[in-house]
Amino acid sequence: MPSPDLIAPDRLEELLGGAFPEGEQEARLQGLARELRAEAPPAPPTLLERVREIGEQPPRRRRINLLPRRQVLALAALVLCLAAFAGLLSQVDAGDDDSADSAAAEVTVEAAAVEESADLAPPRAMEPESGGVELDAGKAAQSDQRSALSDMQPRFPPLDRATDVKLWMEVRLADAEELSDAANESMTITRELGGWVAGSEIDTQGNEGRAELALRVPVNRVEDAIVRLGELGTVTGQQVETVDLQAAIDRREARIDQVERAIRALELRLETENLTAAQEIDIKLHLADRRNELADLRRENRSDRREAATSELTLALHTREAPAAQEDDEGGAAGAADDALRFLGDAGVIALFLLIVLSPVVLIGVLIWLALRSRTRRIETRILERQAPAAPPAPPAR
Amino acid sequence: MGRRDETGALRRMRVVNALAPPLPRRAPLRRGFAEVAEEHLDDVHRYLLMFTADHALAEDLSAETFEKAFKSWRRYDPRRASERTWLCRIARNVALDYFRSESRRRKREERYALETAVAARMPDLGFGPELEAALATLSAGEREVLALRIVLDLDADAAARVLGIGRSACSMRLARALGKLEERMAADALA
Repeated sequence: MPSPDLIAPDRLEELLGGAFPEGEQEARLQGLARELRAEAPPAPPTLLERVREIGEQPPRRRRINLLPRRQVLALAALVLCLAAFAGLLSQVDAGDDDSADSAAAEVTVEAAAVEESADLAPPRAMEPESGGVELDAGKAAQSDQRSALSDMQPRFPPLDRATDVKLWMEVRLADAEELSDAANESMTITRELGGWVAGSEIDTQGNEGRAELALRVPVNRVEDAIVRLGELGTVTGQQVETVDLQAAIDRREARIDQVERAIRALELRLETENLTAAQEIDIKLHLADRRNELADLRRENRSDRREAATSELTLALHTREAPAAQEDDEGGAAGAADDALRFLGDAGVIALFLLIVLSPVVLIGVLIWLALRSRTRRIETRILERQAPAAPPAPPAR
Repeated sequence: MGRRDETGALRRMRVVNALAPPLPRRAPLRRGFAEVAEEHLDDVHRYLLMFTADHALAEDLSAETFEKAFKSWRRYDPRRASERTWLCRIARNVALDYFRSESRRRKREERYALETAVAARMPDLGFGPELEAALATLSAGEREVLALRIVLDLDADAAARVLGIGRSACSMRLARALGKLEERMAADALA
């Protein structure tokens, strides 16, 4: 069928708007439009009744939907973001630890490898008071930190009770050089206080480093040790663990009294009583057991008293930046700018992570949406191309 | 004295008017749904009748259109579209949904009945016999644009919005449909 001569759409708009027709075709089109408008049938009365019924229904109450779809989706997205954020943080932390460990393992400079056994290195008595005075004079500027350290010092049990004190202290330093100096200084302080260094490990790499020193300090000097070691840098952590040994010592002392009395009684029986050979052997065996027990009890008490005489102090030195301390140090516009930059950096990392992780999902979603949309359009076009939309399309001509 | 006071009062009033913030634009008053439905019932029915070419179906789809419209009446924003355009858009979606589901249903049935004789129905749109015969040669999409632009007298923008196409595409579709109809009518007249 030949295609009809199309009238220009603009001209058609003018004709529909009531323009005077020019030519027969335009007049016919205008007449056709008039005919269509005039003869269009009204809605049947039955439909009017149905629509009136619909319109007369009471207004629908706004349904209070506690969890609307959009909010649920937003919540799910938020949870996903938080999970991704948490995952990212854990990944970053794990990455830092791994890299630090591997770097330390690869390039470890034993700056001061002092491995001394506690048993083999008895405490060398120095003059702690004079040394302490000299150090205080040299570090008068750090008096504020000293007072702050005194404030944050843990409460130790009374000295008249035997107590095993384990103390862990973390100190931050500016760089590896300061760290090495601080490690040497801490050894000196320990010896000045009458203690000794049980072991040390110092790893430095470039400007970064960390050291861990196992120190034994007389229990009556541990508070001094905390203050003086704290002056080496910025204290970023402290932990104290105390175990009371006095109760066990007292219990053993009471048992020692009992055993001594028993030994005396057995010795008296051996000396005074007229015993048979079997009885004498039996008493001697008992006596030997009691003496062994007495020796064990005295050895355990000596060990506990020795343990209680010194405190085990683990000093961890590091050059890692402490975020909280950094925030305290900086203030004003520079601090705010740093915070903003840090926040933007974190946000960028998260955005990048989400982009990498979610982009395939988003891409698949977009492709599915496009495919569905295209399919809907195709179906719609097919429907609109039919003469009667409810009827199937005509079979192709052979 | 009195004149000077009056001038001063007027001046003050002008200053106040100049400084006062403009009153917020009031949304157009909304009519009741029943009133709107009765007013546009004929238009919606005519549109659907032209689109479906089926009286009973057009009636059912019209009723469904108004049910849907009633449910979403609260969400209707008069600033975005006129009531008639909004109702026609709903009617179109209702009709297309129906035809899609009908198409799926028919496909399912055809799987079990290979020989399906579908009698081509002659549309009964309520026009004169010549016009009716000419309209029967048009596709649903062509009848749809005729219904919107000519029978309902929607302007090009509103019709384009209902159809989900651009203004020029809508005009082109109308020109094609009207030209085809005119040609068919002329051919019938010659015969």
